Parts: sequence; structure tokens; C-alpha cells
Amino acid sequence: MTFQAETPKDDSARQVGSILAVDCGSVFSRAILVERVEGTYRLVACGEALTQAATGEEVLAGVRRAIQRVAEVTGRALLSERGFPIVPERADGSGVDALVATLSAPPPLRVWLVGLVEEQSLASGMRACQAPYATVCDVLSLVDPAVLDDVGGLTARLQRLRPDVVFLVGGTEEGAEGPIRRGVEALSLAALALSEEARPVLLYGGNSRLRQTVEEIAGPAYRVLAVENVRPSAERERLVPAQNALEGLYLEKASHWDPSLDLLRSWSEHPLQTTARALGHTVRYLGLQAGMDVLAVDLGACTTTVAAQRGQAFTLRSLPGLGMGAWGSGGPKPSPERLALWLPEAIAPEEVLEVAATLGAHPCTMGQVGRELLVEQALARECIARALERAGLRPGLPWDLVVGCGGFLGHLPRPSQAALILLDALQPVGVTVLAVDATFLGPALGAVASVEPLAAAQVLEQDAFLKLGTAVCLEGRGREGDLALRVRVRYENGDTLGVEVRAGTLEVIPLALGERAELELRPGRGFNLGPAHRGRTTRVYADGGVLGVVVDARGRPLSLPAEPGARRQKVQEWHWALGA
Amino acid sequence: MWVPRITRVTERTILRRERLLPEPGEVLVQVGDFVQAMDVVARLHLPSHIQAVDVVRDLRLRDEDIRPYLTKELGETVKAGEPLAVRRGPLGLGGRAARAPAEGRLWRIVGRWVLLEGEPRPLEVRAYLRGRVVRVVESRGAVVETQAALVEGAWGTGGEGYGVLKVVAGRTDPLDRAAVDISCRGSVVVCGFLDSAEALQELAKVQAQGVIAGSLRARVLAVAEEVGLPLVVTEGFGTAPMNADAYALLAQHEGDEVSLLGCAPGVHAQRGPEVAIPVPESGEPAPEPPAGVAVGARVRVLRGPHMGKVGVVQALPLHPQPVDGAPRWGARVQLEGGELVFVPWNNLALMG
Repeated sequence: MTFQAETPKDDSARQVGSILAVDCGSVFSRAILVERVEGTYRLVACGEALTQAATGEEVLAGVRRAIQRVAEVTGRALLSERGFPIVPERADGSGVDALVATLSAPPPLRVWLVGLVEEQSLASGMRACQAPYATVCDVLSLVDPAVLDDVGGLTARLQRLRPDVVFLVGGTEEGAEGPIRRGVEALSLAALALSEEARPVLLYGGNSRLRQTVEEIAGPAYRVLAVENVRPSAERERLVPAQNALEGLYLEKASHWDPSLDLLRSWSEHPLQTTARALGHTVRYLGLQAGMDVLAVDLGACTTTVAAQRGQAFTLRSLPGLGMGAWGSGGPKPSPERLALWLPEAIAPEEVLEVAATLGAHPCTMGQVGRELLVEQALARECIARALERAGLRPGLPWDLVVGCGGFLGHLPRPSQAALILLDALQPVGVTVLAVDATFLGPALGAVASVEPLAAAQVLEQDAFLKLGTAVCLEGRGREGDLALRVRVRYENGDTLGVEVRAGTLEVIPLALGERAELELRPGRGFNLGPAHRGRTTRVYADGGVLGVVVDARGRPLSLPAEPGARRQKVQEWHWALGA
Repeated sequence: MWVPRITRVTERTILRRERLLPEPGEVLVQVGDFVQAMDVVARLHLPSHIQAVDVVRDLRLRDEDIRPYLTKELGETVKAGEPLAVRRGPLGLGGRAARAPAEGRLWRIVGRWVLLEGEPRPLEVRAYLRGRVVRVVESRGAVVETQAALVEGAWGTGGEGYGVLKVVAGRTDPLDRAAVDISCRGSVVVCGFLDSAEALQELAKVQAQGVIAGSLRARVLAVAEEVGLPLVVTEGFGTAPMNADAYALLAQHEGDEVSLLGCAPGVHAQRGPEVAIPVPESGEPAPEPPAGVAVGARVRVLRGPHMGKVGVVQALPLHPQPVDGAPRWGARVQLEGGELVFVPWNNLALMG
């Protein structure tokens, strides 16, 4: 894994010597300090704190605590006596030259999607609502004329749903105008039942010829924003402008939710970003700059975010309500049967749910005894697998780099546990570098790049994620015990090692962090290494990691024995194989 | 230094609670008023059963000025089928009428539309605490302040409740169906943990006003959400007993009026689950919440094998300690009963 950094032509022109990146998350707030050391930007320190130590505390308190942690570690004053960050850096070494901030703490943006045809505008509208931290609270089709006549019904829905945004879509550029016109009229009448301050924003992303009409009709009732038509024709979709508008509205809503976030905004001359967007920047940079297919999964307490760069295709999806602590806050409840699939020992379904629910009640906590940890790790697999699916990325794809982000994956007792969670939930195929980002570098560097791209690139190259190792994952199926892969390892010191890996097993080959080795891979009958390695024998260079090289010969798709006892035994064997 | 989660379990604190309408309405109290928990401090009438009548369409008008045709004034009531607006034809022939589709009150005229409103839906906000109004928020509500004993919970459901505190089970004991009888009516009952759906259903049947438990078995969760009884659990899920400090405080106030809020916790909620017991005002300042962890601090264990136990910090190791094979920062805590254990910061909460 090599992250190429561009060196600026005029290095001396750069003035930013130190950057503090802060993130205000729903449970934890984080701060990292990046500084120029002997001409190169390096990660100097990171700090983490609870966003809210006490109920009702303003969320900025957590950001201040995280900054203070960095100050304690570095011995450098970063906050003034009044609690404001010291910017720019002073002659006595206190403060920093720039501060950037990211945010995911506020509740998601509630969107009421209103449109015409289910398979057309509403389908595109749903995809547009995959903007970071937006959640669709209801969907209404205006195709049925009875809906348009029922202003009382629309009023009751508005009063019940209390959406932040009514997102109105519908009509291709050449399409009929009548239903949208009547829909806007009905929605405008319905909004009159709410006080002005309680009314949502009307975001219009339908037939652009009607934009002015919509503004005229809805203007007295709503604050109207218009974006490009999400479905200009039956064959075309235009989602990004609507997604950007929804993301902007989320950031706008943040200040209403907690006024202290206005202060956070004022701390920086650089625009506040969502944590998901900032992670997306980093993944996009990594993917395009190094020509890699990169997948990052940020497993948070309340939200799981998937960011992927695959060839030229970029995917960013944050899923509010899907997270490690979401169970207690009304999020979707995990089925104990699904979680039991990943448990190496028999744990009663009720106990499984109680561990998950207690984590929801105390999302800042960590499992401390074996059974708690096993259930939490099963929950992590389920969250990641579901997030991947909802991001439209199936398991079993080849990735060059997979990064597991977030406090849970970063703070697991053993790195092998994080590796096994990522392998089980994502089921990559081919040769993949596995890494974890325990210190919030992924989003932070995405934000840092908006100030100093070189700083982000150099820190990514030198101090970035903790490399777990290189995974060699086989596609296909074979009889248990049959030869799945023959590996010949040629280490940098000239030593060689031959390993035969059997079908249905996981095998770890030593390769230390910072080392590199050539792998000669010969899949057995019924197995292959995915589309990038179709030959009978493949030679690749592998990076070492805290685990080494992990050969996953369990096949794809991963299948677990149906009989619970046999399944638990198999899962236990895999845990043992990786030392998880 | 890490600042752990703070759980308030205190005999006396000054509580201020904002009691606001979601939209502007009428405030019924003034600064200085003494209020009971059930008193309504603000109310509004949400428009309901709105009917829209397209007068231009019904009268076949050419422009949108409908006022000359209206036969009713704003605020007047109309019966179903009664004309709202009439256009007379030449020589009084061939006239047209826009009629009310249902009984209602002429609420608004918007362009070509007349909006009729059915019976408005009242929305009221109660004081929640017995105390004094210290601030009025114009058109929205008030801030009520009181001195109260406070127990913050870990999770809850069922919303706000008010009643008289009644202890029906020991700190480590489940709520027994047999302990629920008519004497629980109007009460907020206290028990160690909840594992009986029947007991909960019976509480709802006898019109108990709420439940406070140390923890809740998962098997009871669906029923707890369904019966809608305000419920606060102090520790989490399973059979962990209520922490000793919370139980002692609640037992000490048995027979007193209590307000409770059963809601899920989380950073997205401005308030968390809580139990508040108003106490007589005292001239002495209320104890401050703990500011930071130090040797001697009283703490509670949130997770792990000692979940729900209370203890005192004995030492703050300078280095991380191994927990299940991983180095963790935390504190050495002497638990009730004398056991000395190391607990990671994330799993500790300061009490006070």
C-alpha cells in the first residue's frame, strides 16, 4: 500500500505549519494534530473524549476535552483560558495555524419524499436521499388524485412526521406539469397548519421548467430551495446536486439542534464538513491517486458510513440508525438468530439481545468479558454487512484496500478480531490490504486536505492507518480439507516459505509490519483469486502487518454449517486460526 | 485526564426543566407561580381535519379573487353541504355554489382556496415537576425549577409519569406478579429488575403510574413498550440489580411524589431517562455535580462482570492495565463488599 504524495513546486510558499482537525461525533469527539516536522507533515498526537459527559451538556464540551487531551499529550497550549482554540500559532509554540472541523453528532435530517411515479422519480428521489445523515421518514406518491384533494390528510401527516425537509421530485424535463403543480398547491395549503418556524424546507428536485411556478406557489408557505431535476429523463439521473443540498441542510440544522455548534463553525475559516463527506474525500483521494479500489467502513455508535472508490465510481453512504449503539435509541433491532451465526459458543438469544441493548443504553462502553465481546463483534459484522448491502455494494468484491474505521474496530482487544470482522462481513476476493483507523485519521485527513492537501497526503503516506496485513481471499468452493491454495513466500532477506492452505480454513503466514514479500499463489481446483488474477499462478507483492498475510480459503460466498453445533465449532476454528 | 460519563444520583440538586410547546401557543403561568407536576403550563390548538375547497373551480371563476362570492366570514361555522360561496347567474338563473364537504369553521382564505377546520386538536404541556416558574418563554411555555432528589437512568420508555413512590421489591429482586395489587394504583413502583411481562401488564391494569427498575430482561421489552407505562431502568438490560445508591435514595423517599421520564438515552435526546423527587427547599447550596475523577470519587460500573455495582476510586494507574488481553486506561475501584477491581474508563460513571 503506497500513498503517493504530490510535492509542491514551491515548497517555501507554504505557510501552514500546524493543523488541528476536530470531529464532533454522536458519542465520542476527537482531535488530531498534524504538524510540519523537518519539512514533512506528520501526525503528532490525537485525543478522544466523550462528546457529552453529562446529560444535556453542550456537545462542544466534548470537542474541547478532545483538544485538551492533545494539549496534555504534546505539552502545547491549544485552548485559550476562555476555551477558544488558539489560531494562528504563536511565537511561544502555543496554538495552531489552522483548524478544521467535521460533524456527525446531530440527529439525522428527516426527509419526507414526495414524488410521482414509484419506479421513476420516487426511485431517484430515494437514491438522492442517500446523502450523508439524511433519513427518509415517509414517502408519498402524488399519482393518486385523491391524495391531492385530501389537504387534511397532508396536514395531519406533516404534523405527525415533523420532517426537516419536504423533498419534492417528479416529472421529466418534457413531462406533464399538472400533477406537480397540484401537488405543490396541496402541500402549501397543508403547511399553513404549522407555524412558520415549525415548517420544513421545501426542496424541489423535479421538472426544472416548473421551478419558478413551484417557488411562486410554495413561497408563501415554505422556504423553497431548488436543485436540478433528479430524473431529467427516464434514462438519466442527476443525484449529486440534491445530495449536496440535503447535506447542507443537515449542517444548517446542526446549529438549531445545539447552538454551541455555531461556535464550532466560527472557530475555523474553513467550512464545517460532515464526517462522512470528509472520509469520502480521503477514500476518493486514495483510490484515484494510487489507482486502487478502496473501501472504508466507519462503524459508529449511531451511524455506519460506507465510502468506496472503485475504478472511477465513487460511493458514499451513511446510514443513520445502523450502528453499534443504535439498538437502545430506537434503531433497527438486530435479530439474535442473525447474530448467533457468528458466535463461537452457545449464548441464549435473550442474553445476546441484552448485551446489544446494554451497549445501546451505554454506547460509550466496551465489552469486558468474553461473551460480551463475542456478541459485540457479531453485532459489528451484522452492521457492516447490512451497511454494505444498503450502499449497493455486495460482498465478494475485489478491493485493494479495506479500512475499518471507528472506535469499536480500533479499540478491540486484538487486531485479529478486527481483521476477522472485516473478512466475515465484507468477504473480499483476491489480494486485499486490511487496515484499521482507530484515531479518526480517515475523516480528519479529508478535512485537512481542504486546508493543505500536501499535509493530508504526507500523513496518509507515513502515519496513516494501522496495517493489519494482506488478505489473500479465494473465490469458489471445494471439499473441506482439499487443497485450496499453494503459497510460496519469498521474503526480502531471501528466505522462502511454502504453505498449503486447505479449503474451509484460515491460515496466517508471518510477515511483519513494515516488511514486504513476494507471494506466488497457485489456487487449487475449484478456487480462484477473482477477476484480477485469472492465471493458474499469480505473483503479487504483499505488505506485512500486525497479523502478517492472512489466507482466507473459506470460499465465496462464505457459507456456514446449518447445524448450530457444527457452525459454532467452525466459527471457533476461524477465531483460533487468527488468534481472534 | 479522561472525563468519564457522569450519572447524577443525588439527594438534592436544583432542577430546571424547559416545558415548551412545539409551536407557539398560549402560556398559562407567570414567573413566580407555584405549580404541581400535573398542572398545564402551556397549550395550543393544532388545526385538525382541514378541508380545502377550490372556490374558483366550483364557481367556474375566471380570476382568483373569490372574496366577493363568499357567503361566510372567517371564523363562522358551516354545516356539511352548506354553501360557502355563491355565484349568481344572469337574472338569477344558473347560479353555482361552493359547498362545505364537512362541518367546520372557516379558517383561512388562500388564493382560490377556502380552508375549513374541524375541531382543533388540543396540545398541552404539563409542569412535569412540582416547583416554581422561574422563566416564561413567550408563546411557548415556561421553565420550572425545583429542589429535588435526582436519579438518572440508563434507558427508559413510556414518556413522562407522576405518582407516589412505592418500593415493592428488594434491590436485587425481580418484580413479582404477586406483589402487584390495587395498592399500586397511582404509584411509581421500585424493584430490582423486571423479568415478568405479567407483572408489568398487571401494573398497567391497576393504573400504576410508572416503574423504576435496575434492569430489564429482553423478554419483557416488547411488553414494556406496548403497555406504555413510564419506565426507567438505572443500569441496563439483563438481571443486574439497581445500584445501591439509587435504591437507597428511592427507598428513603417512599411515599413521596415523584416525576419520571422514560425515554431512550443518547446524544440526540436533549434529556435522558430520570427520576426526580421534589424535596423541601433548603438554604444550603445543593452539592455540585462531580467535575472530574480523583482518588476517593464515587463511581458506578456500567458494563462487564460488575455492572451496576458502586465503588470508590482507590487509584489511578499511570499506565494502561490489561483487560481481556488489551491494555486499557482506567481506575482501580473498591467495590461495595470490598473487592478491588480495575475498570476501564469507558465502563465507569462518576456519581454524585
